[in-house]
Amino acid sequence: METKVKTMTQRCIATLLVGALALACIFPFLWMVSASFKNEVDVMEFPIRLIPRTVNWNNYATVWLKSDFPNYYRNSLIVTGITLVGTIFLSTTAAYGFARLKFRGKNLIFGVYLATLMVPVQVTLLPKYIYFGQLHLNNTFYALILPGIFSAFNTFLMRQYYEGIPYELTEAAQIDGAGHFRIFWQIMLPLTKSGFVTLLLFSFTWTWNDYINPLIYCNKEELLTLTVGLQRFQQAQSTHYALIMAGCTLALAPLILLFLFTQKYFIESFASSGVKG
Amino acid sequence: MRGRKQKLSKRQLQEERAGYLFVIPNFIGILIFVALPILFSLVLGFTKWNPMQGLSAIEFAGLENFGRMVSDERLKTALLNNLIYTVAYVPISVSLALVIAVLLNNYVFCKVPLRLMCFMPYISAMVSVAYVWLILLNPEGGPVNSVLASLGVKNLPGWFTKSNSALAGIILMSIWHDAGYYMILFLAALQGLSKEVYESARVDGANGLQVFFRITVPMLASHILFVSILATINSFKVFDQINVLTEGGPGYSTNVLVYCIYHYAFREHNIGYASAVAVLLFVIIMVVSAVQVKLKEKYTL
Repeated sequence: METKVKTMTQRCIATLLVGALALACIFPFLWMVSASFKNEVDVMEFPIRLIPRTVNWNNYATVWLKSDFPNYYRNSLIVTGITLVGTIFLSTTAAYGFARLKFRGKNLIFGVYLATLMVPVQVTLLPKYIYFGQLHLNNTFYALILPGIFSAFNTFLMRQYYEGIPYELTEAAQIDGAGHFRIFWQIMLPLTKSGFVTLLLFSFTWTWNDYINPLIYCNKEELLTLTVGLQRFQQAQSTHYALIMAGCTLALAPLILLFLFTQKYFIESFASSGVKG
Repeated sequence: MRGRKQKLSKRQLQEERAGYLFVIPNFIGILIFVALPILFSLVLGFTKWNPMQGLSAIEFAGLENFGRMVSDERLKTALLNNLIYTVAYVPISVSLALVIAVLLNNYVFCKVPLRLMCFMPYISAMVSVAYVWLILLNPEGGPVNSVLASLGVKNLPGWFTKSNSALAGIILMSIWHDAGYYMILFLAALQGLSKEVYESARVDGANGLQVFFRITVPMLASHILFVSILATINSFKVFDQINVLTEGGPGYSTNVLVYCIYHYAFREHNIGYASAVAVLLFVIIMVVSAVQVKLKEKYTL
């Protein structure tokens, strides 16, 4: 009984401690949403008031109607959507090849994948900039989509899921005369749904939040995605904090909402990436 | 017998053809957009080139770029800042993540919502949250300094506006953004630990702190190492928040390696020298990765 009481107080203290840190984690978000509904004069008021005195929707109306935000949204959706479809198709097929098929030169090709995995994108920014310049891809969506869909990381990730599927299952199908594409489509994909979700959420998050690639390869006003677009917007507004917070809220909303509704999958996906990668 | 063998090799050929069909489309893209740029980046570091003058103006410069690094104040400051950033960011974010993960796993009520709250910063675009922090840390009337002032702090920090506090502000924000991710990695590792050791420790009357330092930390040693190296590599890639908030300033106070690459390439139009800095970044990350591989062998993660 005594130990039970002790663990009870321990648990309460731990909950308070983690609760305080968790509050610190979400406080900037709460403050952002709150400020986005305030009148400019009330943004910096102290003591901090998270529920605004009057709810002011005008900030959102101004951001949406008097800036290029709808355009940034559309561009982000186009780039993220095409990148997702492309990388899902290309990484899952290549991953199946690496995981289950024997062909000459496989180890050499896979070695190239492994070698590129260690090199961060920041190292290859300039060669790609020159290259895309020569191919006239700079300031087109191709400069964002093409490097996005060919991903060694995604291929590596999916290969690990496919390797975990027992050979008996695919061999049985092979004896029944199924070709490799059918095995891939009807056995592998349905059996690795969690891997598929991981790939989906990962690519979505990276592409949606990507800043350095659009900054360098695709920074023409009408092609801006949300991250660089938000930066332009902030530079134009400079000290109009309520407006900037409305812009930030709009830019963050899609991913945060997706996260809130699918948090279990998000967290499992990101957890598996670390252990495996 | 012979017929069967022929049939088998036909199947193997079929498999090989399928293998190429599955892999080649992706491999061509990887070659063009990932592998060749890596090789190209190593070559570019040894050239001199202003992109404004077209591709024909590119010329071989030998080791000139690397010689210039020795007397480059901006780069030296950037390296030092990167080291300060790493030394502060890695231990604080990793230990914070570990403690929260252990508390979440063993003690806390309402585990799921708390886990969600801690992870939320990580999935948010750095650019967006950076602007929120810019206002939170505004030295004139920003909420953080207002709270500090009401607590009686006299010398309020100038955060991003002063060269002695800008880097601290960047580090604080990065820890806030990333610690939740490292926590998730630790949580996954904790789930793999055997319950029996904990049971026997409790029977022996060990308290929470003893269990943490004598059981949890040693059993997670390889994971702590892995996460620390991941955090170290991340710390050398830091860029977004710096370009958005301080552009390396005030002065050189928040210059870091990736920012230098960007600055030399797109502000000074010196692609050759910027590439040499990229080669330096490449070498640093390779060294850290090599350490990881060596230690991985030792601990067989």
